[in-house]
Amino acid sequence: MWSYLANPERFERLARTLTPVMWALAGVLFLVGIPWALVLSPPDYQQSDTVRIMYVHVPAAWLAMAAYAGMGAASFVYFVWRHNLADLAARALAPVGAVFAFLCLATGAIWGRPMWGAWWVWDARLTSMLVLFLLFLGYIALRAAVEDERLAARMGSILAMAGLINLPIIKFSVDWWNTLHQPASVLRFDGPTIHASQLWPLLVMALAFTALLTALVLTSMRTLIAQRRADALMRRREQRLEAEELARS
Amino acid sequence: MSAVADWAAMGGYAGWVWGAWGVTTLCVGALALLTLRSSARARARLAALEAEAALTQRPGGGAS
Repeated sequence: MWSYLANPERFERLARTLTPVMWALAGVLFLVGIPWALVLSPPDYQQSDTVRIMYVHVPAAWLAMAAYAGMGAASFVYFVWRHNLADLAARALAPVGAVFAFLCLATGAIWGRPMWGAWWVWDARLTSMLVLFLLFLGYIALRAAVEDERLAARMGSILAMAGLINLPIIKFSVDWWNTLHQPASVLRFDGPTIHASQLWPLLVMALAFTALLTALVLTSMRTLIAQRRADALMRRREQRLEAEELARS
Repeated sequence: MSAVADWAAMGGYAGWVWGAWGVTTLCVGALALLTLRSSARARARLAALEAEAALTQRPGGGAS
């Protein structure tokens, strides 16, 4: 599958149809999910209407982790097989993941203040999520700081793979340590413990964010491919102008 | 209180709920806008360079 997708032209053909489909799908899912989450779903018996923060907080957390998992997997594929598209995928995922990780932390703080009485606590779940956000920022900074593109790609892939260790730590932090953060209530071995009236809108919102993430990443990957092609043409243009200059003198 | 105002009050937690949704809308909207803008710019730049390259490659267009 990797080699099949590693062909840029095949990817371009697939992405040309898939990208607008994903944007449209995200739009439709948000049109269903937002009113469901904000109006139709019931307030929580303990948390009242603050539970509506869950519909953005939880998808943001899941997708930040999914984005990092994707970045790590793409980095592995790039590191082993040197497929350029895998590197582009990792690069495209980083800013999206950073925004989702930030949103998870920000909406979590806004939810924590009225429910826990604190914007922030150095609890295992919150701290490991902060580390995830910093990993995204570190990856972006590293890619921006190293001029040599191939070296930057290799260094970035190593950083991204090393950071993968943080994902199980985030997931199981609520089981391994005593945390203020609640334990898992959706992704559990014995099935979800939240009521269907809150679970369904949550799943629709999560799917909407997933479609949006896919649309954003595909769009960014195509942008990076176009930039690369344009840079190559620019170099050829400069060479041609230089040759003409030489011929004239 | 009307039904709409009652709903907007979010059981007394309006600031928290709308704050969280607001920051999400703002960040996601900005990310989508920036992504689409840089995509449009990159495509326009590539199209211009490709058009110029095609022009110079034509016989009599400049390059041999």
